[in-house]
Order: sequence, then structure tokens, then C-alpha cells
Amino acid sequence: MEAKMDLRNERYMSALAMEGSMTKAAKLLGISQPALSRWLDRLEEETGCRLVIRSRKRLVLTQSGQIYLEGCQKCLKEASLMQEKLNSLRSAGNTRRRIVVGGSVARGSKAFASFYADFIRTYPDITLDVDFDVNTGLWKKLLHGEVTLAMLGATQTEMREVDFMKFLDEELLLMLPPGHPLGYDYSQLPKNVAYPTLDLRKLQDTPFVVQEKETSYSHLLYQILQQNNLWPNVIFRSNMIPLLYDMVKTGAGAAILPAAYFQPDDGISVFSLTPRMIVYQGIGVRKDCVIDEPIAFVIHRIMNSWGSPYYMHRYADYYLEQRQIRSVVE
Amino acid sequence: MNLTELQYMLALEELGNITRVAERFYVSPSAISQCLKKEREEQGIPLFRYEERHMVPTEAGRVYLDTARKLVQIHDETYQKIGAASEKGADEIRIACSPVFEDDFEKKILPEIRRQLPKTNLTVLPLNAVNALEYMSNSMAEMALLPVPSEWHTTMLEEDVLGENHLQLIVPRAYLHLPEGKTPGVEDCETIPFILLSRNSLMRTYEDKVLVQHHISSSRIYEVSNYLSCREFLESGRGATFLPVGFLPEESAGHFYRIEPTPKLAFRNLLLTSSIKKPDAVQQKVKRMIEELWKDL
Repeated sequence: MEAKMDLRNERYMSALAMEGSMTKAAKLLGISQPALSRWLDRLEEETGCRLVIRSRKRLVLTQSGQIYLEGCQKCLKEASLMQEKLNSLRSAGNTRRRIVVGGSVARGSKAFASFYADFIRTYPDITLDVDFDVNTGLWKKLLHGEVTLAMLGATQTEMREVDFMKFLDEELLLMLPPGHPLGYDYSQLPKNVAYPTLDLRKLQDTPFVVQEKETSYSHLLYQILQQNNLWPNVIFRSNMIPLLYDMVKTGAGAAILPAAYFQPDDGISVFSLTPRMIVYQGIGVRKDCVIDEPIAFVIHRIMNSWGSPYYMHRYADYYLEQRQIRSVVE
Repeated sequence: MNLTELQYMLALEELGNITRVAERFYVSPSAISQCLKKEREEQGIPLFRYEERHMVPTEAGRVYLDTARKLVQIHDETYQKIGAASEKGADEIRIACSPVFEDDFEKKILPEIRRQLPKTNLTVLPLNAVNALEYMSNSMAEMALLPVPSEWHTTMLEEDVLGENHLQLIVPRAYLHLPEGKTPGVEDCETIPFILLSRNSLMRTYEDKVLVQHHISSSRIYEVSNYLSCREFLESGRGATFLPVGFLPEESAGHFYRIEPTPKLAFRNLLLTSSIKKPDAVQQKVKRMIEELWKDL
């Protein structure tokens, strides 16, 4: 058979199918549109049949084109699997590999402890380290390559230099200490009912304990307090969220904290904010980081230990797969 | 890495000698050794080493050759399949079928037609509506089975209405915290992510209409190519989506709210044939059988 099937054909074809237009595909591949068009003509000549209908609106693959595309995707997958294996062979000859996981002292340390033993048993040749820091510090270390991946809080999921795999949505709740005049008895609240809301202006005289600016969502907190015309009487600031929760519990003041910390038996009254505030927990990796088996292991284990809902674990699989496809095309 | 180079490397494994590989492919030995050098540089690790005047693959080389064998095999299979697909058989009828109907069609309708018309060769092409119409107008399919918005019409094709249905907005219960007893409406979905069909689909404009009417501009939108993916994304908890009535399995209904959107998103299930080229007798027969069998679904 004379026709070549070099990986250029495969990459071009995948890009074409993914973008659905000659112009966009050429741009993605960094070549000119006429060059891509010539390539397609040649390919159709080689295979002896039409692969693409060049419609005005959109490019549509023919039946043969669809089959060819499937072949291409299989090839790219095999090639990327090979690269992964060769990578580990190449690095085996060098020094010992080190993976550094970044996280918070509170929940990050718990997650790290839960998978450390399994990791070193599964990958005895890799050193696994942990680096605790506040959220902004973790971002910086991630960008500078000081940590391989980090457990992060975020208020958005699209970021330029970092891929963020969200594994938990958390609502921020207003928490009033036990015995507060505006409080209510949580045990009396019927099940499956939304948390009540509260006019924040009524809290003018309530002391507050708040997060410092290193916490991922601190800017949102100030925003929402301002929108509600509340200039709280802040008596204490800290980035240690469990500490803030304990201070609410012991009656020091009110706070706005992620729902996960709330324990119904503590006598604390919780309220939804208007609008409801959702923040994300997830894992950040740099966009250029190659996610191989050991790193994927860490990602999955973090998600498991964090107690995130089951569907989010599937999201990790999906995400890793998408990322692989993307990196092959690029 | 291209097919020729892969074949050189596979031959080198088999013959263990550059000169003999060159002889087999009628090229100069330097072509082979250059190729070996290039692959070595590309992969950044030696693929072969000398052992008693023979070239044998290294550990990395074995990984490389395993992949090479797979790639050659995928290539051969692909070309065979393309060859078979590009020629339309004399008695072949190609039916472009929306993924929404594919399952029912393959399991409940196709076996019956095959039983009654054993000589006819029926091929099902799973395609979304826009692509299916493109196939119809390029004579790459004889029939199409598609859901299209009720106001959509074409003069190029003969429309045969099999049934009518409409879209419901499906929202995972976990996303909406509502007081007990309150029925949710579209307007409650302001803050949640949406899974919508891709921009080039016929139904997307339809879905957007509802969102615009209720002033919903979700900041998180997943775009997928068909309702099967919508359902899959929905079931993995990624957000709310629109689905045809009856498309959500009954056993999972407890996890979701079903909202009837306004305006009502009605669509028709159409069986389309060419209005220019009259269908032949067999095609007529198949068409009638689909109509009949559809009624029992």
C-alpha cells in the first residue's frame, strides 16, 4: 500500500473534525488554510474516496471520513500511550522522581495523609512530598513549578495557565453563634428544605470573624457584604477556616463559611446568602504538566478522600481523557 | 514517525540487520540507518542495540515496536473499511439516524425489516440532524430519521411525520434548594450550569429561546453533540439540560425535576426521503415498514 499514514495525517484529521471548519482547524494547527486544503485533497486522492463534504455552513465528514477519523484517533491514542511509557523509561535512568502536592493545613493535610501510604507502596521509585500554604501561596507555587499539583479553592474554573479540575461545589453560608437573637433551632427545620435567608443589615451590631485576603473567595465576601449594605464589625481575621468555625461555635461572632464545616449539633444557625454563593474545591495543575499514571493516581485519591459526590470522580476520568486528546492535537 | 518508517523498524526487529532491511525495501542501507537515527532522536532514547553483530530492540524499542505493530494494523483495518464503505451496494439502503432514535431503531425496527427483506442491505449512519441533511443532499443516504423543530421545513426532502414530542428541562434535584412543595420553574435555574446542544444543531436555537425568555445567561455551558451526551452529562451531575419527553429512564426520575418550559419546545419525528429522486420499490417498502413499526414503539 502506497499511502502513508504518518501522524501528521492523524493530527490534521482530528483537528478538522474537532473544529468543524477549515479556517479554524488551520489556525489550531498553525498552518495556512490553503495548505490544509491541499493536504485534504491529497489525502482524498490517496484513500480514493471523499472524506469530507465541504459545505458552506459547516464541514461534514462522509461515512468514509468518519471511519478514517476513528482510525486516526486510535492511532493518536496508541502514540500517546507509547510516549507515556517511553517517558517513564527515560526518567528511570535519571535521578529519583519527586511529586509535590500542595494543600491547605486543614483539609489538604487530611487528604494527603489518606493516600500517602498507598502511593509509596504503589510507586516505590517516586518521592511524594507535601507543601502546606494558604491558597494564594499555592497558586504562586504551582505557577513556579514548586508544587506538581495543588488542592485549591477557586471562584471560577477557567484559568489561563492552570487546569482546574473541580471536584466539589460548596455553598458559603452565614453562620450565627448559638444563642444569637436572630438564630433559630436547626433541629426544628423540616428536612430537605432550603436554608433560610436573612437581611444582612440586621447584623450591624453582630461581631464578625472573617477570612483574610489569602482565602480564595475573600473578595466575594466583601462584595456581598457591601451589596447588602453591611459594614461588619470585624473583631478577628484568620485564614484557618476550622478556627473561624470554632470561634462561631464558642460565641465569638458570626462568620461566612463553606457549608461543609457546619455540624447541626453545634447549635449554630445557618443562612443562605442572596444571591447564593457557590465556591469550588478542586485540583490545579499547570497546563503544560504531563499527567501520567502516578499523578493521575494522586488526583483520583484526593477526590476520593475529600468526600466529593460520586459523579465528580467520573469527571476526573473524563477530564484526564479530554486533556490527553487535547495535548495530542496540539 | 510514519508508516514507512514504522515498517522499516518492524523489519529491523525481524531481520536484525540494516543491510537486509534495505534489500527488502529496495532502498539504500543509509536510508535505513538515517531513519533509525531520526527515530532515536525523536524518541530521545535508543531503540536498538548491538548484540553479537545483530541489532536487537532495547526495552524502549520493544515499547516502540509494539505500538508500531498496532499502528500498522489500525491503518490496514481503516483502509479496508473505507474501501467497503465508499462503494454503495446495489441493494443497499443507507439510513441516517439521529442518535436519539438509534437504540430503538436498531433493536426494534431493523431486525423486523431484515427478517422481511433479507436481500436488502441496510446501513444505519448515526448522525445529528444537520449532518444527516447534508448526507441527504449529497446522495450519501437514502433516508433520514430525525427529530426537527416543528416550524422547520424543507422543500428538498419529502417529510413524513412519524410522531410529535417536545422537550423538557431536566434539573438535578441536588442543584436546586427549594422549599418543600414548591414546583420549580425555569427561572429558578439561574445559577446552575447548562448542558446544551452544540451551536450548529437545529434544536440549539430552540433551547436558547427558552433561556433568553427567562433571562438566564448561565456562565457555565457544556456543549455536546446530541441528546445521548446530554443525558450522560446530566446523569453525571454536570448541570441541567433539555431532553425529549420519555428520554430519561424512569428509575432515575427521582433525582431530577422535570420542568415544562415556555414557550413549548415542540418537535416532530420525521422520516425524510428525497423529493427529487423518487424512491424505488424496495425503498418504498422499507419506508412503509418503518412507519408501521414506529407506531408500536
